[in-house]
Amino acid sequence: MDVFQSYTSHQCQADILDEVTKSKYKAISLKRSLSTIAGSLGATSMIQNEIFKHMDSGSFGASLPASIQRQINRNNCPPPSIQQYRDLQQRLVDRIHGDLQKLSEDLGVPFSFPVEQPQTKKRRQQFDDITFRHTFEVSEDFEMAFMYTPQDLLTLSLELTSTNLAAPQGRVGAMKAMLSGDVSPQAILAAWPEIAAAEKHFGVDDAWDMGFYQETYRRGETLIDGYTAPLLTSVRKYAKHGIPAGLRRTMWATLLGANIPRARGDFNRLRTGMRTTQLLVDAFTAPDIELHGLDEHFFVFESEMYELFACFIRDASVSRQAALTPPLPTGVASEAEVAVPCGVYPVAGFVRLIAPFCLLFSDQAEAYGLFRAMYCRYFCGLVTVAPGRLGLPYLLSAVETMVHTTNPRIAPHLTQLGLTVLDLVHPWLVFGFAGFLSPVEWACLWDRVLAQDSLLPLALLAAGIIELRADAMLTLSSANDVRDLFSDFTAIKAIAVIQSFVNQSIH
Amino acid sequence: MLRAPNNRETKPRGIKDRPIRFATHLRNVVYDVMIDRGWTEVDREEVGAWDFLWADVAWMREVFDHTHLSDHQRINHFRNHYELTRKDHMVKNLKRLRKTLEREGSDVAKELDFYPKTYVVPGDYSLFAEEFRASGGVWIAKPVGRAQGRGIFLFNKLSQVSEWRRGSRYEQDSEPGPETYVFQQYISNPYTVGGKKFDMRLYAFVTSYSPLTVWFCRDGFGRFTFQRFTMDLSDLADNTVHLTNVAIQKHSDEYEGDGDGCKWSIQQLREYLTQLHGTQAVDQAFVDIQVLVVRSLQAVAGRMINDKHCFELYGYDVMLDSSLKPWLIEINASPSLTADTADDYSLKHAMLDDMFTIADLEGRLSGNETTVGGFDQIYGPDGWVKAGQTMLGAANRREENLKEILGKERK
Repeated sequence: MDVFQSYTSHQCQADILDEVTKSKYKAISLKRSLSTIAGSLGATSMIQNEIFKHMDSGSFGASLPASIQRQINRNNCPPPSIQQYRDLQQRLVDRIHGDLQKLSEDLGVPFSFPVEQPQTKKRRQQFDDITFRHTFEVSEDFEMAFMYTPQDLLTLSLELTSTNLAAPQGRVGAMKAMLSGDVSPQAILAAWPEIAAAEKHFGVDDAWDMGFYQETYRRGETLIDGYTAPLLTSVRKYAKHGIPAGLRRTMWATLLGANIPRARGDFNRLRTGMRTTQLLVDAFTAPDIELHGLDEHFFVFESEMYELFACFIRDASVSRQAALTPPLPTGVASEAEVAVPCGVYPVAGFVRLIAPFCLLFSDQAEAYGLFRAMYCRYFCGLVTVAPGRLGLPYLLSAVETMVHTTNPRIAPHLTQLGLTVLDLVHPWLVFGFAGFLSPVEWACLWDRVLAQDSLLPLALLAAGIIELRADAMLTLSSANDVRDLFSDFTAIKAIAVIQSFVNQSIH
Repeated sequence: MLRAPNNRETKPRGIKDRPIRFATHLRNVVYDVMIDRGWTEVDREEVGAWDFLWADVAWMREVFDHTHLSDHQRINHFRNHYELTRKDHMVKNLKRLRKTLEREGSDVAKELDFYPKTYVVPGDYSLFAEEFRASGGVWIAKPVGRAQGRGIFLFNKLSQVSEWRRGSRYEQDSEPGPETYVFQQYISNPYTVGGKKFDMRLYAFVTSYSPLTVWFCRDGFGRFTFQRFTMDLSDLADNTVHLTNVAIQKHSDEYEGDGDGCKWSIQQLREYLTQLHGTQAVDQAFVDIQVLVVRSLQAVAGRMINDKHCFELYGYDVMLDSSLKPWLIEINASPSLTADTADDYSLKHAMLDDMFTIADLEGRLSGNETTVGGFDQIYGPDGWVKAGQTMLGAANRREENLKEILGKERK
């Protein structure tokens, strides 16, 4: 299989060998320690993503063992073929690449070029200032037409069709392909008993139950105390009830398999690179931040967001490590010729994904490491039309099914107003609720995503919010009123909404 | 300190039979609040005509002493509030309280350690110079009589402030001396968020100094600079790096809008700090802020001319340093009541409305309440109301609270 020959695999092997030699492990303890070492170096996670990537590219084909084939076809309805997804992604990527090439020609500026160094010593000092930013001369009617929006992703997702002509029952809504399998509250409760109504959660119960708060915090501390690499399974089990704020950095690093020391080195290197080389797509960064990043919570972190964004775009390891990477544009031979070294064109509003990391993690290099790991594992599926359970179409389908099953009156009412459920929820899903929920609630939500290793909590929250406001919505008679109703997230407590939604049919 | 006898029996019973008449020269949030409460405006020149006057400090200075007020009339200032709000008086009062407590052997004295070393110049210039030669560092110079950050500058060399040296020696000089300033040790390790320094504007409402009765608002906001903080000596002169006053930041090169993107609510601040430092450390820091407020008021309580007609709303400017220790920057007796943004407006509107409810001109309260709207009583005739705890930055459930204490009367 290609995975073992891949660059990632070689790198992981080399890292582990390094670590073992450095630490002089004894032979007896080596076997036990190997998985821990692999986890702490991020190797496990990287290999996992590599495997996903190969599955995604369809290179396994007919050689998959039957048991895995069965798993893929679990919902008895063959999903859209991988090729469909690839075609849609290819279309998007080609369009953007074409637009960028045209922009590059119009401005007379290549995709990447060196930054002019200032001549005088004083200017050099100012140049090295922390708040370095690229300046870009563009004409007044410069528009971000070459990038794409969440609406584009929705439109593409809606084009997916199931290869099974006999449409399964209960399929309603805008999505033509049924992708989500059984997402009824009963099935979810069976799979995730942690969200039963009686279970206490961080983010909900810690505010009023001091005993729960202290006991859970102490348990969490013991889990990570003194271990350079806490056991993944125990952290995962713990995190299903939420993570206290003080323990989040270590636990997320474990759950994501993020190698923070390496990320620190990468970040510093990229930051230096930021000041020597300028990219055409840097023109996108500052306007994106101004339009989407400067809300009441994040305005303070403007320069941090800029740096993280600019470094991320330059990080070539992302395209290697991410679970899902868009294809190269047609006619482009290698990754070096593409406008974005990281391999992914940022969707409009991409900074929303970055912003919470700047706020929650004060160490910038750590924030970068965690953001990059989060992107490689989860965000990559949200911002592309990606197959499988880590992709946006799956979530869209899941939300539609959930909303229709619990409250069939909603979809017809919305149709009358010219809206669909997906029109309302797709921005929430593309950004994983970043920039909608308050930062603390966002973190609580993603604790669950990481713990369950599934994006389904996002769909549950979206369906839960719709259910919460369903009665109010059914009295409204204009599309704008409905959009306004769903634009206020200040009172939303993510986990409480999810618990309430999942447990409702039990009463 | 001696406590005055409980004077609740002599409290007037309130005006219930007619709308309350107010007078003011202002046309900002406080005007809206009074109108929204159903009060009617009358001419402020006619002293007998109003029940409540929102006076400015000039009126207090010039007219108050010659005015006879009836029992039911109220005013929004104490006569000598400058004991608290002028920086030179505040310094003297705090020093005096500290000496008294040290003499008594009380260890409350170390709770007064929230004011950086301050000297009034030109009067105490020689004392200041002695301290400066011993400890050096960066100092901040503030004029005692001006507001909104005007006239403030930082310095790190005696030569930069030689102007104040002359005043103390050449008193017989016919030239007018330099303006009275305070020189204060600069807090060079402020807590920064996103690399930016901030201070907190908090609201305390005093209904009486004898006995000292203090109410503290749960709401408030943190004001950020636009520039990243640096102690780089070449940036000492850049006030947009060091001063957080909105007026200063509005003139920064980075400033683009209407004051939006300059402030965080105290709730947001508390949440953010708790994420990074844990509940215990942040709770302690906020309790320390509450203690700071009360101690500063205790320092002046003895000198304030208490008057049952008076109550006063103070805007406290407090800063946290990198170890989460709070420092008192300044106290305002006329905090800004204009609003930059919609959020600003609702915060100030709610805060002022609750303030008037506590002042209770309508006579609706029983006198036993400890929470009214977004305010909590933190100090009263029996001392601390809930020592060691604070509701600052906690959720403000004012609607529920007002419904509870005012019942159907709330309009």
